[in-house]
Amino acid sequence: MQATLSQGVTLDVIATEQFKTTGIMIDFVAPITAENASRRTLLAQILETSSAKYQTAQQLSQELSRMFGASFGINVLKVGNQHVLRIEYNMVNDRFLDQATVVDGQLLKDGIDFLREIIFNPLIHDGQFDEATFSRQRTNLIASVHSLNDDKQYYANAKLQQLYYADMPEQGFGALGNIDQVAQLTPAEIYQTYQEMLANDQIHVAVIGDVATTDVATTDVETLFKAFPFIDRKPVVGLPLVAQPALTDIRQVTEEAALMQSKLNMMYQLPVMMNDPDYYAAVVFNGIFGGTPLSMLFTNVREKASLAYYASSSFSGVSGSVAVQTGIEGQNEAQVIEIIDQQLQAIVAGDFSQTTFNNVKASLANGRKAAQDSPRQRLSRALFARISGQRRTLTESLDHLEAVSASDVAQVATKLKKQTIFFLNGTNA
Amino acid sequence: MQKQSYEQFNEAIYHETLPNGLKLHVLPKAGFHKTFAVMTTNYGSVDNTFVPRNETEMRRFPDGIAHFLEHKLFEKKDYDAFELFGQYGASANAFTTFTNTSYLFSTADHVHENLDILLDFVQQPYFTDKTVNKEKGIIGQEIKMYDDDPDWRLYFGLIGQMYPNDPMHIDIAGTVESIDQITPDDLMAAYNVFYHPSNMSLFVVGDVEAEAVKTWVSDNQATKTFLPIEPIIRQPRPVPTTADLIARNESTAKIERSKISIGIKGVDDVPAGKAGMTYDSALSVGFDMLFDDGADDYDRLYNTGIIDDSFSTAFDISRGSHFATISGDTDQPEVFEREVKQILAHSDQMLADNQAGFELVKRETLGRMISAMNSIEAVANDYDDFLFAGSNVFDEVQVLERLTLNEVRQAMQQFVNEQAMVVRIMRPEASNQKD
Repeated sequence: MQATLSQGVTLDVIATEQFKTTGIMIDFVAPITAENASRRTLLAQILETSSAKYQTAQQLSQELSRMFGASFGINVLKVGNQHVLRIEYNMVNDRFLDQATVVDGQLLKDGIDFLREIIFNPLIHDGQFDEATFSRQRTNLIASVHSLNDDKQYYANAKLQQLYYADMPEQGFGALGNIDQVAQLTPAEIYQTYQEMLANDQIHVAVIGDVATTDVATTDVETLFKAFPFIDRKPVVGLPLVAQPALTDIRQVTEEAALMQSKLNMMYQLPVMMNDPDYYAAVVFNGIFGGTPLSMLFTNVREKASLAYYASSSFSGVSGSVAVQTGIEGQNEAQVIEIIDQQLQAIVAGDFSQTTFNNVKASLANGRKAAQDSPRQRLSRALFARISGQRRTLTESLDHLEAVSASDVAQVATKLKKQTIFFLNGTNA
Repeated sequence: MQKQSYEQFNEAIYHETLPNGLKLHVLPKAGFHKTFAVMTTNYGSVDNTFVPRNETEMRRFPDGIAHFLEHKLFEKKDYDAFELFGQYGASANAFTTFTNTSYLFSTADHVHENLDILLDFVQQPYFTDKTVNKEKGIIGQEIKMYDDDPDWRLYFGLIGQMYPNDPMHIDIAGTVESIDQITPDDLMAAYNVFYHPSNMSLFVVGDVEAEAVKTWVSDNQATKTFLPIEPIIRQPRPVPTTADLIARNESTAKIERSKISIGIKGVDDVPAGKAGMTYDSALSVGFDMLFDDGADDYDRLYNTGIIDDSFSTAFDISRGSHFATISGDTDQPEVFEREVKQILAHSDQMLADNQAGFELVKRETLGRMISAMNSIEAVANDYDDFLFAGSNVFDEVQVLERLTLNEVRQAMQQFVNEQAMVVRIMRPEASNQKD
């Protein structure tokens, strides 16, 4: 079921008896800028831990426990050129609880009331966020983002993105934004960010679960969300694509660190977007190149040459890029790059087996079918369809995959252009 | 097959022990699109010393052999098991813990064919010098990847402080040096002892019918011959004691903030059989009552900046060991340690008067368990044939529903022991500059 709650505010309801829970996702979507990403990240953290009714993280947590351990979180993500503040809420369907302790449908109603409180009733005094909550969450955010760098796979990928998007800082910093700006933010500024978000963002709500069959009329999901005071805003629909001009020379940076393992990360441009006719050829290409354990990177870098534990690639149809990552001995850098280059050349030459080709296609199809068993994946798929304005059924995407030929893959592989190499050279090896 | 129904959740698990001793469990999930199967042997990294078949003496094998064997089972003379699963688009994987090794696949189609592939690759070992030596480079990189992960080092370092005389102090994957010594004969000796069907279980969950699965598995097993069932003789593990603890370890590393972890080693006896589940559940609830984000002390420490969202507690129980960990990133590790120890010292008083907190944690845990039933992987991985005489998430819910605050207090009194605590602190190097 699909509905419009207000102009620019949509609702999708996926009614199914498959799961024992009801899941809700709400996306607030706005064009990403270098400034708004870090502000919205801090806003997410504040909204996640407080409201006027639940003034401390403890009170909020106890309310979630009371609702039978409902899970609740607010995260940020980058979808192409859009910044998304995403609320996730998941609760047990009370049909599976002792009927003496709960009224049918009550948990769903309580959960939606809770979300309404979080969205519309933040902890505000005198036109700004509560000072104590604000500074605690600002401190926590800065610390947790710095700690992310302790994960060297994360760190190397973040560096690769910054290098690739040297001229587009809003893309280079990613969803968290520039963490160095956070220390200067004020409670009043973040309140303004909140107001702008509520007034101007595209808002998409999606619900999955056995919501059609509750006995209580007051727990009709559409009615409950229609009661949210969302004001009208101009609906924006369009693919959230990132256009990055190709570089003439490869950008290469090497950094030394006291690590046992070196990290080699590379970025290619592959100017094929999700709405392009050869999008599915690019998806299959990525599966053959490094996107699956059947791939040529896994087979040749890991299994045959024994040079790595992980060696993989990923393709994005909103930014038109392919990222490769592997963990190796520093002294093997040149050899590994050569093997990776050879795999790409082999695919361009059509030099991959029919078995690999068939298996990768089967694996991609299998993954799409299996995703139906994940409430979370189904919700994010529904929301992505709203953000991009492009909706494909499972059958359609399976048909598109099936139609890809080996020569389509070789053809699309000719479009890859290596752009950047980030090498984190481990000096403790 | 023997049917075990859980009407509250509209679920049923079917059990059967095959003539060769393999324990089969099937959980059909109506409405699901995929099937997940996991085959597990009761053999992990701690089982590095045992009596091989046709021998009479204990033999110590190189550290990391169970994990090495896990890697090597996939590769055969003229094929790789990944490729066979790949024909049907199934994804396969495997993992090794201290006490178990598991092989699994997930698929939307061709369950029967994939089950045959799983049973065949696990039950047809093929080890040569060439394939064994080739794997050393790959696992060497896996070891180094984890060596660079500070949280991993903190966790396993802490376990080493609690169990310095138990094989648990050794990394599951071994070391670059120890795996270099592994030979095809070593792998075969371990395989012959531990991969007998009578030491294994198979759990299948998803879009399947129980009787059909039983027929497929039985037909597959009937085509094979197995060695006779023989008792497995492992080196007995040291009885857990406080006498050998390494109480403190402080070090520096290239990290952004200090990390601290406090471990409590279980030196009490875990009740045998199903009663062990109640004990496990009581301790999980007890630690949540003291330390989860609804607790008063959590609130106080959070608001004063001693802990943040990285704070976590865990209780872990497996064959031969049980322990708790309380960990987090903090700028004040000394205060963190003092506060946590103080809470533990007064834990019984704090639990005793807190019926409301108990009910709240129980509710929360119940909801989380029911939510986990959505995930066929979570249900399968939670199933353990070799612990509590067989346990699964549905039994756990029933245990939780019956749990009383008194049982929580008793279990906590029995487990929490000041003498059994160890502390590990990792600080940023002085020269460490933020980016």
